[in-house]
Amino acid sequence: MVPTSNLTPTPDIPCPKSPGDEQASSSVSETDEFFIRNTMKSDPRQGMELLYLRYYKPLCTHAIKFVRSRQVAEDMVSDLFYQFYTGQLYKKIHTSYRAYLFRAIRNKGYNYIRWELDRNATLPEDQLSYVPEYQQPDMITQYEELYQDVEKAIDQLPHQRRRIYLQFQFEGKPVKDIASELAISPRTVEVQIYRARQAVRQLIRDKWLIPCGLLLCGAAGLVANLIESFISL
Amino acid sequence: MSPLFSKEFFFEYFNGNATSLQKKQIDTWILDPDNEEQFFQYLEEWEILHPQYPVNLEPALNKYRELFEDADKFPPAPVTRAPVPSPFRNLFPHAAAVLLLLGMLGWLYQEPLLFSHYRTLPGEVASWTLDDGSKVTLNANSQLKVPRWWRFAPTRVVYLEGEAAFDVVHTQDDRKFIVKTDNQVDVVVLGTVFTVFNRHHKTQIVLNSGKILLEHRKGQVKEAITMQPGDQVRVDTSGILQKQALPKSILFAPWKEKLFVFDETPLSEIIQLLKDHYRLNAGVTSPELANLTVSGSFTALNADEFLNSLADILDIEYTRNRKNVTFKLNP
Repeated sequence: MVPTSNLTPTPDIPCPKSPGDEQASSSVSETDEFFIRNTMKSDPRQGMELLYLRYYKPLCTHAIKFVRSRQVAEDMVSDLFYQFYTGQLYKKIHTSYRAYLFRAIRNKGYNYIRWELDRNATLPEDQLSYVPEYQQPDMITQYEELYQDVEKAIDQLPHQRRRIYLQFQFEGKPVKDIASELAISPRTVEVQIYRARQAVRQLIRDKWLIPCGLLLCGAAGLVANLIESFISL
Repeated sequence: MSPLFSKEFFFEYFNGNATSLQKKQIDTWILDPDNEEQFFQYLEEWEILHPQYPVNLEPALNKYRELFEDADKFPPAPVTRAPVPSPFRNLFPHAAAVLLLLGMLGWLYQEPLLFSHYRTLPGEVASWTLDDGSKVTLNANSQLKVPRWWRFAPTRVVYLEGEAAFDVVHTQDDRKFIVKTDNQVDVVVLGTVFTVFNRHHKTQIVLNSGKILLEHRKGQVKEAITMQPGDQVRVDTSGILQKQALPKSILFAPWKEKLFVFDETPLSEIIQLLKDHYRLNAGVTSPELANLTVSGSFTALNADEFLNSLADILDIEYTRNRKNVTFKLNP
């Protein structure tokens, strides 16, 4: 695949490089979102709609790599836009809207995975807003690594289990529908989903939850040392 | 721009085809904010070229417009979808409950809240100076209740159980000082020295100096008696009032010096006195003992001294077992 700029469906204006202008890359972001920025100043409602039209799709398709569910991804993106508008964050950011929105959705995705790994129960999707904030990775490449690990974990599932998992998780198809489509009992579908989840979770947990565990051990050790020193006093 | 960080390079990276070394270089390169902008531009482009699934924009946009309507209708829209209920929402019942509780506590503890209590233990005599400068000495096993807020009241009212000597100060605004008893007798004074005995619904007032007015209530009728110095008034259980002039020689409130004075006092009265002063339960072994009378005076600092002196005067014996005293004839 050789992507070229003519194939890009976004209305990207090729950046004009007039002499005496600012640096190339910063003018990229400025001219890029120039129209949206101006609209945002005069009419935030209208500006938000333009922003939505422009970034909703790429944000959703990016978020789903983290959360593996259409519904959750779309809710997460909508949530992000909503906060962006009601919190008037568009007035406060100094980067491009794009950089902000992508960074934010990656953080949300990261938090979501961490939260899912920390807890044992299945997640109630209506509580998406309460996903707690974890410390974010220092390195930007860790985000890619994380969702690529998720993808690999799903890829390693046995064929039918993966199919059921994707239908259930990605598309949000009810268990009953999957069962009738595959002509198996709903109970079997449930078991397959459970095993798939466990497998994916296990694979991600091994790599991504260890630093947290080490931290906990360290904290416990520190407390133990403190107690010991108190006793010896 | 360095050829390493080209669009093709990042597209390969987003595809998952980057080596650890390349990733490390991205992490350094991205620290420049301009590069970060560039990164997200590539990311957006890549996401548009490689959608994970066909995103349906229309219904989402419609839903989103509705959400915006709500956001504009209620401008400070909460960020969380389920607003946390305000802790003050149901304040009223709580406030009412707290007030009720305070009211009940206040009612339960109105005595200590409204009155200062002066008390003496059995065998103890103590003196205090009240807020207005008046002095009061309480005999053993007595209690005086003084309102805490009487500074603002038109009269000074105190409540007495037991026996007390008062030295009342005359105030500039002629405020009355009233000693209330539970025997329908109020002693109304302006400034005098007097004693009040109020036990077992028997009241006895002795005036030392000045002038006092006794208000004796009989049902709805109020009887007023004026006392002169040296006068003694007794009111017994049946409510009968007796007034007599005491001889000049008699001591005023001898108990203040722990002095006990008896003039043909029967032993039965002394047994009552032991109970009042020292909370001792005294009894006799034979009825003839009860008819003995005591005349004379002695000082006694405590119950044992009192009992010893009494036994000497009457030439009898006694045994004491904690709170119980038995008088016996001398063998």
